[in-house]
Amino acid sequence: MALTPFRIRRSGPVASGHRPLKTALLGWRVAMATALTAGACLTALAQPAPASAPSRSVSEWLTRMHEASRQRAYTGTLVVSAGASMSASKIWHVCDGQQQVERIDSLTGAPRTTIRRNNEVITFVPENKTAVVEKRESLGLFPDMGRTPSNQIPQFYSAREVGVQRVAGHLADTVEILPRDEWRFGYRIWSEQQSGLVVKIQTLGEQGAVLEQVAFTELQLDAPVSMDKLKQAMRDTRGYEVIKPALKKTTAEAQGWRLKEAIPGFQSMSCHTRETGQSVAPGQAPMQWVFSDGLASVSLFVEPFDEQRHRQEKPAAVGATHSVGRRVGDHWVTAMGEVPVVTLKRFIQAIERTQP
Amino acid sequence: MPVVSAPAKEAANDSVFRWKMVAGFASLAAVAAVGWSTWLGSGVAGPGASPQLVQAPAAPAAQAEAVLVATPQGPVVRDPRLEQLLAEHRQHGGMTALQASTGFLRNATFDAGDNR
Repeated sequence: MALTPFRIRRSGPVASGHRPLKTALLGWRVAMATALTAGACLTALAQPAPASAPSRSVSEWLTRMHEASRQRAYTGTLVVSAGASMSASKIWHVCDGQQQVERIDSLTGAPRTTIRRNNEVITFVPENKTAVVEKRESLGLFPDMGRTPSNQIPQFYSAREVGVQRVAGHLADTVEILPRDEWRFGYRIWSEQQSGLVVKIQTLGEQGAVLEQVAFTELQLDAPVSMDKLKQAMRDTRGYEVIKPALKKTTAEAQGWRLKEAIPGFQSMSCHTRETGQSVAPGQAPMQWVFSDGLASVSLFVEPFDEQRHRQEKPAAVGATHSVGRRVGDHWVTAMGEVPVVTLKRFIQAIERTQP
Repeated sequence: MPVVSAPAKEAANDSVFRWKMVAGFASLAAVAAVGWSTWLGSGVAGPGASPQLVQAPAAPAAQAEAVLVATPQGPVVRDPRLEQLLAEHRQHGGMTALQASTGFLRNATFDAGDNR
């Protein structure tokens, strides 16, 4: 294209009287186009380097982040900032493709050490010499949940790559996972460029306001962490009273509850009752019914109504976690989750008793 | 040689009485504004804003289980019932694709809601 004006100039002698003017104009156009192209190139060079990876879908990003935590060992310091509070912990993480073992030592508040091996978790509290042993169902759900046909995450969230930034000394791809409707929050995630490990995550409220953030302030990838030593520490409960919370798996239907209307994207994930140590009538044990849309989760807590304790229907919040309460007959329902208050209100309006 | 002291000059950074007056008036106005918002009981948040879980409830006398806690913002009353539910939600409610990467670490790092 840039050669065209010179070829026209060479044919000048047979041109009409307007030809030199036309030629000159064309030349200017080409010069301007060249200048614009050069300007665009310079602008591109001046901007931060674009993400080297091609565009990924929301599911691809989430799978990459999940896999990174299954394949890389690291140590680091993690900070969680929610509302006015800030907490920190020291992390050791190791994996061998089959199992993940990690240790979290709290650096703020009461001292405690949490060690997990896949979905088995033990929390040591030195102050009262107790060790709480649990199984976390939620740790075994993904990536299977993301691969099944019922994976609805792309239907309710979209991914937008923002660029590359440095977090805890590592270059990280920044991706925004944004909700497609008003029933959920968005997320801005920094994923370490080479491994995909999540090094920082923000929960975004209305108009992109940051409600909560979790970030590594220091991170050593491929650190020499001994899996055997962590497993040994997990088993060593000498001097501690071992407590196993008494949870009983059940269904909302069996407990006499249902949702009269589905909340878009949220599926029932689990339901259990907690034994309080006192004898309670059937269907009266405190119940936790958990819903998820793949990224956000909501707990519906149902307990017998107590006039002294259940008086506040006003919403409350800490960081991205909100809660709303409502009396339903002889029960009190509290909806709690990392979702907007309107979503929680929809949940507690939808829940109803199916048994007297 | 006799030491002749020059007449004392006012240092450039000496305090000036009229500025003290202005500062005093500004402090008084600030105290009045804070006092007014506290008396209204609504703080600076709008009517639609959600209150924090850690806050002084409107009727502390009826909160038999409430605990007074000293914080950098002053003494506040914690709602143990909500904090208990918050701990249970963090332990058993984290059904998210991000649970293995950051969700579990986040929940274990929070110092609110003691593990039980």
